[in-house]
This record gives sequence, C-alpha cells and structure tokens, in this order.
Amino acid sequence: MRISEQKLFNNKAEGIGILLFLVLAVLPLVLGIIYALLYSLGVIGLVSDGFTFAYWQRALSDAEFWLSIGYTFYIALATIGLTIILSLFLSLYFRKELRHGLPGFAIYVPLAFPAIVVAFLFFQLLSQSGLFARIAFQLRLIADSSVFPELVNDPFGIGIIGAHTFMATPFFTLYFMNLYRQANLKEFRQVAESLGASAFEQLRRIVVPVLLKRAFPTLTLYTIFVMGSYEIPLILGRQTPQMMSVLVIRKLRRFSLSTIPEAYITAIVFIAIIIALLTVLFKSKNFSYDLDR
Amino acid sequence: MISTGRARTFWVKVLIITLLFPVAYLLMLSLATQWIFPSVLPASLTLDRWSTLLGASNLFGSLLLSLGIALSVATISTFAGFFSSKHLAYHPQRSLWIRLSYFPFVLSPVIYAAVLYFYFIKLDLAGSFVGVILGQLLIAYPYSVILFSGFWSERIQQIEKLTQTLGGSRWQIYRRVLLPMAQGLLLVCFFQTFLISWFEYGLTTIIGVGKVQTLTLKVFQYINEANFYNAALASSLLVLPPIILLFFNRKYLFRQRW
Repeated sequence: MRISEQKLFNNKAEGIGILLFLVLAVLPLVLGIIYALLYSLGVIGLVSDGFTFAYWQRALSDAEFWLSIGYTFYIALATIGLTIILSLFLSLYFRKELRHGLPGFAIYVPLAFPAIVVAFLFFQLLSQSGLFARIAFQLRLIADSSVFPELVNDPFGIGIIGAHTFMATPFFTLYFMNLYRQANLKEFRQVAESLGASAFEQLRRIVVPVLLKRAFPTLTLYTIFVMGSYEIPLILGRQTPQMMSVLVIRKLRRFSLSTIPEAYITAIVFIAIIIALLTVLFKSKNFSYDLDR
Repeated sequence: MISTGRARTFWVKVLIITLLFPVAYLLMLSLATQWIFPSVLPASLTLDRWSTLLGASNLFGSLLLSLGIALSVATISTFAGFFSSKHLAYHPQRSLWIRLSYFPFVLSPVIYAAVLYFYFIKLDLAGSFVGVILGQLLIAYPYSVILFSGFWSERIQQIEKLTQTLGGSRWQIYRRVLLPMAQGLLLVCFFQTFLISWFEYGLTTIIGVGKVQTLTLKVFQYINEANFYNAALASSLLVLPPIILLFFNRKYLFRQRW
C-alpha cells in the first residue's frame, strides 16, 4: 500500500497568497520604474519626441541634481550619527529610569508624532519668531527677531536634522535598551570588570561595539527612511539645496513640462541608491540570518 | 554621591519635560486666542476652536476621513499580509520574497507615488478615497508581510499539520488555531499599519491630488495659510489617538515603521 503525504492545503491557496504579493508589492514597483525610465528616455510623456538620452545628459550635467544627492546623504548621515550618540547616552546613562514610571512613559511620546507635526513643531520653536527666539528676546539676548540665528530653512539643514533626530532618538534609545538586555551585556560587563576593565573600557570595548553591530540593519533601514523623507525637508528646508524627494516633486509640479523627465531621472537614481543600499544590507550576517532562517 | 544622585534626578526631569513639552505646546497653541512675537505665553486661552471642531467643520470631516482610510488600510493589510506571509514564508524562495517586500516598504512613499501616479490616473483612482487606500496599501501591506514572516515557524507548521490530521478544515485551522495563536501580532500589525496610514502625507497628497483632505493634508494647508492655531489643532488631533494608544499598550507604538 502506498501512503501519499498530503500536501499542506492545496496549490490554489498558495498561488493566491503569492499572486497577491506580486500584485501589491512587486508589480507596482516594476511598473513604476518602467514608466519613469521610459519617460526619462523620451519614449512616452507629454513632451515626448522619441527616444533620446538628452534628458539624462541634461540632468547629469545639472549641479542641482548632484547637490541634491550629496545633501540627501549629508542629512541622513548627520541624523543617524547624532541619533546614535544621543540614544547610546540615554540608553546607557538612564537605563534604569527609562524602564518604568513617568520617564518610561515619556520616552514613548515622540513615537506618537507624525513627521508633518514634528516639522510644524520645529518650525514653531526654531524660526526667527518662534518660541526660542521669544525666550532669547525676553532674556535680552537678542534685540530683534531678525538677529536670531536661522535654524529653519537654513543652508545646513539644522532644522531638518534636529526634527529627524527628535523622531529617531526615542526609538533607538528603547531599541538599544532592548538589545542591551537581549545580549546579556550586564553579565559581560561584570566579567570584564572582574578582569580589571574600567567602566569606560567596558563601554568602549564591549557595550558600544555589540550594540552597534546588532543594530546595524535597523540603523541602515532608518538611514534609508531619512533619505526618503518628504514632509520635514519640505517645511524646514529651503529652495536650494533640496533633498531628492522634495526635488522630484518640485520638478514634477512646475508649470514647465520640460522638467518632468528630470524629475523621473532623480526618482530613478533615488530608487537605484535604495536598491544598492538594501543589497548591501541583505549581505549583512545579522540580516540574512533572519531572512534565510 | 548625594550630589550625583540629585544631578541625575535633575537630568531625568529635564528629559521628561523635553519629551512631553511638544504635546503641551501643541495643545496650548491650539487653545491660544493670540500668541504673537515677542510673547512667550499666549495672551489668553479659548475653547472656541475645539468646540467648533465638534460642529460640522471641515476639520471634523478630515478627522473622519483619516479614520476611515486608516481603519480600511489597517484591516486589509493586516489580513492580506497574514494570509500572504504564510505562503511566502513556507515557499522555497522565502528569502527572495522577504527581500522583495523590503523595497516598496522602505522606498520614499512620495517618490513611489510619483512614479505610480500615471497608473492611478489610468485606473481612474487618482483623487479618490479608494485610490488613496490602495496607494497606502502598497506600503502597509509589504510591512505587514515582513512583520508576520517571523511568525510562520516550523512549530506553527507542525501544529497546522496536526490539526489537519485530526480533521480540521482550512477554515477551522485559521479560525481555531492560527488566528488565536497570532492574536497579539495581529493587534500589533493592525495598530502599526493604522499608524502608517494615519501619519502618511506625501503619498496621500500625490495620489489624492489634494482632493482627499486627510488630517495631515489639513496640517500642511494651515501651515501654508499661516494659520498656526488651526495647524496646532489639527496636529493635536493627529497626535492624541497614538498617545491614547500608548496608555493601553506601549508595544503597539514601539515597532519599526520604515
């Protein structure tokens, strides 16, 4: 007698599940890239004159395009750098306090803020007529609002970096606290201490390297998230330089139709950067272990 | 030692004030009658703005619209993600599927919307309620797949096979075994996808063509009009539901959402 192993449900259910994924997650991305690519090559679109590399040549020779790429990386890396420093400090110095009571509740509150509200808030606090300028005026530190330093819509993206850091720091503080517990770092530190390591050496040689190594995938994903952010640079940024997401939409919405192909070229380059970063990330041991498990 | 303890307590208080101050500031601005430079505090407070909200104001309409979109996106993406992730997780190409699901999820929503806008126009979905829901699903659904992919372990598969061996139908396995076992994660996913939709601005403004006026669009509109008091009111409406959620369960808020 032949005993045949029954398959787990039938192929129809599996087919529907995977088809749903292809339709909602894969197909739109592929179609979007194809459309943007064809538009940028003059094959389709309102200004189409047939296949041409002219739009690519024009975009790649435009200083604003390269400045935008550099600015996007600068904002993302500055944000993630500041976030790492602040989150490590908070999670290591206030670890006990942040676990319960009011501090334990308060650290979660910024997670309830959408990006557009954080942008509005930072505009209200840091602008030249904002709350900090008013306090400075009342303390007679400034004689007029125009004397207050430009902290929003400034060339260095101080407001943008500040707003992103405000959003990211509580998350990474909690994340590092969780990792600290999961990695049994308390026990490691005790062993190191018994071997004569000072508190600073324990942090420098054990705690910080372990936390950063384990958090690498999440830190990379967050960097990508900051690179693609829109609301915060839209409200707190300036006309030049602009982050790539803001530049794409500005070029798409101009009255002149001639900038639309350049908008799609910027979008394609952005998508290519994200694909490259994700590919690197997928090769990370921590990440691939989770995927292949 | 005592002075170190006091300094520590002081810095903890500074930290609490820094973290809670934004909520207090938004509420105060939404209640202010007038708050112009160089006043550090508003001239007086009024409940008028909040009470008109309860009438048939535009803002109340936006609140209901945001709620409708967020609830739809959360419900559909949670269940569709749960169903799909099962088949993707047990598939021989699991690793490929999960990798692919990261791309739409981490891609800038506004850039994603920009390259997809043409198709939404062709499908007559641009500027519509359904179009915005579909647009947001393109981000929330892959997130849901990623979140559930860890749930489908070998142990779950064995339990499923056992139930099947004992005569359980597919529907019974879902209803009596899988859904109860995943209850906690389903709730986390529901609230997280709700928040993805609730917080969304860039994609909504492109796909909705500015016609689908969710609360986030209202905030931006008021900022543009320099009506900061109404912007603060709309912002408070956006922030309060997640803070209320925080009271019930912190894990619903603390998850990776990008």
